[in-house]
Amino acid sequence: MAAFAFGTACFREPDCIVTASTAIKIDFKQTKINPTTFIRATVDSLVFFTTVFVTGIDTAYIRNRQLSSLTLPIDPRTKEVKFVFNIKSSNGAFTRKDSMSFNYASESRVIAPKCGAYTYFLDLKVKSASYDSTKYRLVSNRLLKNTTNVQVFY
Amino acid sequence: MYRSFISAFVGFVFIGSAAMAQPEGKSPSDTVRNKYLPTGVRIGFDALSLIRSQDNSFKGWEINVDTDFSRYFFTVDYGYWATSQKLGNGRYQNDGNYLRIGADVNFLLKDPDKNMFFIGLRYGLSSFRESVQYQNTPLYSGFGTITGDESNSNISGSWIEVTSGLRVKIVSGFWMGFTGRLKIAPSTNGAGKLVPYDMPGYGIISETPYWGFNYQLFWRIPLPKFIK
Repeated sequence: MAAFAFGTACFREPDCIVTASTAIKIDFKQTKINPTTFIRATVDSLVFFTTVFVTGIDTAYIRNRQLSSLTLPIDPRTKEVKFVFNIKSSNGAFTRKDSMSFNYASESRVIAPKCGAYTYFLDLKVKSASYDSTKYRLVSNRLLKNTTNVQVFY
Repeated sequence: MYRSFISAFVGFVFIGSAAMAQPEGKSPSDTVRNKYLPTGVRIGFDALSLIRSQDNSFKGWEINVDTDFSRYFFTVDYGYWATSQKLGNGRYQNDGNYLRIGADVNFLLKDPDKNMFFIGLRYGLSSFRESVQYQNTPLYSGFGTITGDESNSNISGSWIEVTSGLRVKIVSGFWMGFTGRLKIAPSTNGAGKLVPYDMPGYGIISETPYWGFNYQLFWRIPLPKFIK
């Protein structure tokens, strides 16, 4: 019975877990120092986006939202994308315009007959940014579901 | 890869020799030399490949040849494997040839019918091509459907197998048997934007170890006595 169970376990279809994503996830962070312990910690930073524009989309992809993380689409037919962030300060006193450009490559993977084949985007690189290079960090160069690609420090 | 295979093979033969060692002191030196001369060549084919070929998604065949050197059998397998698999969102196709070279150690050495229970090692080589066509929906539907059409026109690959099985004599000159295969360490060269998926002779490359099974029919051609 155990041998049968082992055999069927070996030959059954694999679970259909598709991790491919067509979006870049950007987390906004800030560094805070605990006043009592003086330990530095990185925490989420809520940012008010008046608009966020994505290359290839004529209208604003995000409008008037306060978020600490953005999941922004890429055009799968191209090899680069530019995001433009129009940000308002928390007290509404000023606005600023930032941008980041990325390029990437792709590959095709067959997961399993039932799951199908998917385009995976990889080799993500920051092509240009309005931020100083110390203000952002590439965390993962593969576009996968629920995976942060870039951290931006505000 | 070749170096690791050769190391493993030498180790395997050494262990096999030690386990099956006989007292050598009583044997004349010419007898020891003669027992390693082959007595016949078995030529066979894999019946399962032919049965599976009745299905439209698989076409294949495999020829098996082995020859004895006392308890050791030198084996060569050569085959063809083509699949056309319907995917959840498209279709995948491949075809290619493969070659396995290796050796078996027979643990039924004194069986008068030359039946075999064996354990062996193989080094597998494959040359194949593959293609996939599929459609994905991106996060932002305004970009349209992703249409993937990728192919690898000339890939080579290799792997290692640990094998075990039986050969049973049915009638004079005719044997039937099976070979179970535990396939490990697949590697490929020459792939483009399509990550290699199904390697003829091995199977799904992303899965290791990968299991294989053959049901084989053999005919044995005895070598002339004067060779001995």
